[in-house]
Amino acid sequence: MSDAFYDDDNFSDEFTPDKDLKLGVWTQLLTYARRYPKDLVLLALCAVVVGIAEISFPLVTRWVIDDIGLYGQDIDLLGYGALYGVLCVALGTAVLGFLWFGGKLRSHMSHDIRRDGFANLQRLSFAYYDERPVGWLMARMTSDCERLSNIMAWGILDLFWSFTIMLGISGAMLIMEPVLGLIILLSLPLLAIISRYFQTRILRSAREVRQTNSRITGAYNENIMGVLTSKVFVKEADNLNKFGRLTDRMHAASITNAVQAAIYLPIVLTLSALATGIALVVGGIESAWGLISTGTLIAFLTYTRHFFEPIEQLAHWFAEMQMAQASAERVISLIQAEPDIQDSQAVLDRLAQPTTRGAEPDAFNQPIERITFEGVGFRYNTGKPVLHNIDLAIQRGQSVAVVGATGGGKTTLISLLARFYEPTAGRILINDVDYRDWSLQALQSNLGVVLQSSHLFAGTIADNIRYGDLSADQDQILVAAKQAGAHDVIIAMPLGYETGDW
Amino acid sequence: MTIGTLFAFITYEGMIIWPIRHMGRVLTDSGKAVVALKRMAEILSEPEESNLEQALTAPLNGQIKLDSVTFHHPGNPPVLSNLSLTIAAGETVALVGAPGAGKSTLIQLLLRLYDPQQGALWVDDFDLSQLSRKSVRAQMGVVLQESFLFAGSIADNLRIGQTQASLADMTEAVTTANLLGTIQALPNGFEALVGERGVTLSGGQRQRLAIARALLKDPAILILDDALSAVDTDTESQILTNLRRVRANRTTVIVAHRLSTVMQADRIIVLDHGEVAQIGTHETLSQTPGIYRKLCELQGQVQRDIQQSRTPEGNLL
Repeated sequence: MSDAFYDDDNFSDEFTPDKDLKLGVWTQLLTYARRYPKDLVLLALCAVVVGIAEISFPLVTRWVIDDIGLYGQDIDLLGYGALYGVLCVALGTAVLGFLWFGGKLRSHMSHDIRRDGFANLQRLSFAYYDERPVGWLMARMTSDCERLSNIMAWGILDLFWSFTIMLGISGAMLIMEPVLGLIILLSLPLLAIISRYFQTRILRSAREVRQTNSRITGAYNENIMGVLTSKVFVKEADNLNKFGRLTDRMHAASITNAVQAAIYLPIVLTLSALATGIALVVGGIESAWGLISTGTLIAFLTYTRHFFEPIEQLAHWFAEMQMAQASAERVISLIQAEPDIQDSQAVLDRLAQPTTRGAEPDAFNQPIERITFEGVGFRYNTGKPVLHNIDLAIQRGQSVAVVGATGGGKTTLISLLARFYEPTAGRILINDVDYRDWSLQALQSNLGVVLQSSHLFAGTIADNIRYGDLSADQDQILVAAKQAGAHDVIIAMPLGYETGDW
Repeated sequence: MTIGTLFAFITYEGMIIWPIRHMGRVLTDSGKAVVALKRMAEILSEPEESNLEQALTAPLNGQIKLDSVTFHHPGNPPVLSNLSLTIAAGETVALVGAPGAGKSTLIQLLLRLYDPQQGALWVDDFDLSQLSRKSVRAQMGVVLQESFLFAGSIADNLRIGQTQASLADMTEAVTTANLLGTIQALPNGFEALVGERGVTLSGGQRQRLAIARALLKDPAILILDDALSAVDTDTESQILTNLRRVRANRTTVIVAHRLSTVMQADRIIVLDHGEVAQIGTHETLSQTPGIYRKLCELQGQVQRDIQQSRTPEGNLL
């Protein structure tokens, strides 16, 4: 059933690949990487070193082979051996380095993105959750975060590495043999076109996989939350069927994706082999005529083979970034989403003012004397008005009962009072001040709300009671439990107040 | 060795190094995979609800019998101890008792969500433990304390127990649950979305939707587990009247705290600490000293207090 929700207009943009990369999104994500400048720079440095080392090996080979041709047995291999050794150590160190810094950067980023996302989920108002499926939010905060940090860390690595390799190899080839080099480089545009063709398709199927993944997360959530209802209505088989359709879709999309990738890679390999072949023929003829040395030919052939590896990597990351773009936008939008209910600038300014010693940090943080509703009206985002023109005055010490038919607006009234939502008409005054001029902290810490379905957090009973006042001691907890008539039930349990694992 | 061989050799050597570049990632991933595998295995190796027992083939009459039933959750004191009681087919029975008295547990046992450690439950002439869970649940209509609505339309949620239900059936069920007006007032009526991202239904409206959903099954045994708690007394009494009409001669078990909900029941069973404390009608029990009478006094007292405190201006919201 939840299926249809993910096709909703608001969310469908995730599933149509963006034609072009929007740099803004990635620059914003890059700010996460920039918080760790040391790791970032070292990672890029390692990538460049790996690239340079890989370019240097064929050159050493070339010199050695040419020297063998020149000096025969009199060749001095010691210098080359030393150079080779240095290159090996550099390569090894750089590989160690990029695994190290890449892994660190990825973990840092996914940690930060997740923390910022969670922090904002705590700040966002109730209405935000009315509009977004839990599965969607959970997929954002789990797999999308992981994926983005992967792209950022390993993508950065491969981008630097690829550019170093391609620039280095192109330069070396053109310097060694301009004509032959040009022939090899000419295959580049062709490869780019093929890559683009395949990667957009690979991207589309992978997107379908992710979209389905989002729904599967949602289905898990719904079926776990509703397990009792499913059981008593004997819906197990039905649910399994529905879930089966989702996983079938994931399965089909994943296979399409694998097939596309399976076709793309051999094409790149074939092209690279073809280019090597051309280099072999042309270079072989030139070498036979003595136009180039054997060493040059060998270095050239090695370069040709390595030249195509980065293209594949670049195409992969380019497609991955295109595909993840919507994810990136979503995660960023989630992190940057502004709660519709938050302290106004005036309140923030007031809170920022230095306080005299001993004074309350917030002058409004005082006992509630009067609650006044003035012509309060409210409608939910999409719905019809729930409350009309409510006038109400409550004095300190009064207890007031709100009664009415179901759907009459009782819960809404409470939600407004607790400022989970704000009135869409009229205003609510606390101590004769519009409650929007109170800080949320001051207002809500003055309210104790018991909801229709009370959510208990993981932890002991004492922990859950202490939730309202973290500084409460054992006696205060006991008093509160007795007042709520829960004490007898609690002490009847073997572990009493320390009973945990809800 | 020729230069050609040397070159081939060097090329091979270069190729061997290449996969090592990926080894780091593969090693990390396989470490994660081992952990993931263990966690999956934990879930997969959990024993499943068995469903091999005899399936009910004919509709039940709706007689319920508990024979010295004792039940406790692992590591906890018994919730029900040596509980015996009989509910006749067609009877409307109310279960009352303080929170923790064992009312919901009794219902969970009836649904075979748990099996008792001692004693037996019988429906009609069948030992419940010998019947397949699915066939038992298929004959019961249950409205749970917390009504869970699946994301989807109101019609989807109504049809959950009765996939083939027609619009007329649904209309009848929601009329009995006193919800028709609410649904008709929604922009899309029965097609309005509820659950995640759907319209916001109040607690009472959700309860009534859950009642309609259970009624649509036309179950042999209807169980309302504190299912009218969020409904105002007016609506409640209308629903109870409707229920008496559509559930005439069908077994109905109502768990409730409010007197107004239980008063009309054929019999009231008072549970206390997992045992039957009292059984009788409202008339007899309210005259006999005991838990029920105390409840009557308390709730009656509250009623009188409200009437007395009502000021001439009628200052009650």
